[in-house]
Amino acid sequence: MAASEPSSQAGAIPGIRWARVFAALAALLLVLEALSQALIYAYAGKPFESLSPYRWSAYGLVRNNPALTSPGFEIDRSGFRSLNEYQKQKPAGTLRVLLLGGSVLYSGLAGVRLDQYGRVSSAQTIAPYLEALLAADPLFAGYKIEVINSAVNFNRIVEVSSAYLEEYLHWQPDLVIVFGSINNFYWFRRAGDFAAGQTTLQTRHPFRLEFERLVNEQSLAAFIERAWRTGAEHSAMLALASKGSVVLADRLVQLSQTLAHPSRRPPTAAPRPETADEARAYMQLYASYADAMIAAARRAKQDIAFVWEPALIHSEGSKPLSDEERSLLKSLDQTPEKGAQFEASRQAFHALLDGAGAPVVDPTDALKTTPETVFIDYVHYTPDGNRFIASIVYKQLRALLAAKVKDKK
Amino acid sequence: MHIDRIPLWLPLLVVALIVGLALAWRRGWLKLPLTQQELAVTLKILFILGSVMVLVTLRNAIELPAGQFIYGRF
Repeated sequence: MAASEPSSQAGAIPGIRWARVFAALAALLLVLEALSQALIYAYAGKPFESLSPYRWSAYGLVRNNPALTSPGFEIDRSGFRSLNEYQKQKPAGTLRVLLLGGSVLYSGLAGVRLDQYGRVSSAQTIAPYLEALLAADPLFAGYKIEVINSAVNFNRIVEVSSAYLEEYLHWQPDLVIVFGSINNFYWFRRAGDFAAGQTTLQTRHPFRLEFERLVNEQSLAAFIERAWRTGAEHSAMLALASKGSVVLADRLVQLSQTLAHPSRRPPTAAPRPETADEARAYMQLYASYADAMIAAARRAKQDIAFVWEPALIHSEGSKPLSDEERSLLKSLDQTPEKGAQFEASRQAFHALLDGAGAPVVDPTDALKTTPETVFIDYVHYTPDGNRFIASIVYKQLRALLAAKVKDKK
Repeated sequence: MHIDRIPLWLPLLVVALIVGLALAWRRGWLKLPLTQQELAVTLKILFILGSVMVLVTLRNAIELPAGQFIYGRF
């Protein structure tokens, strides 16, 4: 008996003090949370609220997240990219211009860009420049001018129109200016795409896929993701971990795609562009959304105009490119077919809206005599580029707004 | 330095911090109120939680390849 005691003591496994384990976990998470909060403060210059750029919307898919913690993308309480706050009920004596659109108006940034310009702040988008021009115009003396930037990245006419009809119509704008043409007309349409439902306007928005997974899917994986994404709205540590895991997962997928590339079948022939009939059908589809906006605006006694957004890739030969823009072009895949289709879409865009009696602002001609750097990447603008576009919009639509003022008087 | 997402120095700093803490513990400069076994259990719990997060995200990344997300994911 006495001989067996040492051996049983040597084989005994000391019990795990679970209270200590959980206390250590809690302490570790608290330290990591404090560290994450400090890092985000150092990065953004303000306390952590959220790292999610968007919020779901019942109409128009998403809106900008007012709680986004970012050093340059300031979003106001209504989801507008702005340093000012706007009230839905228009104050008396106010001329309100509402800008709708996608990332060109938002001033987003693509992967390949001119890094020397940094981030385009909310004070350097087209909206504040246009607001300053209108406010300084004696024609509008005595009026408070509001130019509201309601752009959301990658909004097509599908999302823009539903957001306008459901929400922004009720903001009582005097003038609505619809940007975002690039998200409808930039991507090359091949023969057969329209019939197959594969054009930009016919396919699901990428965020819609996330919506289906995060909101409608009832799987365990979706439940776990919802849980930690909810946590990430309240914890800087979880928000950083969430972003980190997304980057890691995306990199792993990209790596696997690169490794799988040699086994893919090479394309047999260069894709043919859409036929004339397909181009007309695509423009009809665009028109169905644009017509709805025009009809609603007229019924609500709001003026409406549309903006054509040029692309750097299709500007070679029609704009004197700066050295910076030329350096960007090297990374872009330009072909004559793509350029011809983009130009044909521009002309059809004019014909459609001219026929509907809606003014079109098109900077294409003005770009022909502008050697300065306007583009910050394949399609978005530098701060000076935004100022340039604002001046074109101002010159062309000033008279329209002045007529509105005259009617009010 | 990344603009749209978290800056690149951030994960490097976190890794350096974790490595520094591990070294300090190994050399006896940092006293933990846990036995080696309890520490292993604590790290396993953290590992499992982190793995679940990465696996769920990976499953979503396979379902929705990153190429589509030119303006960042949710």
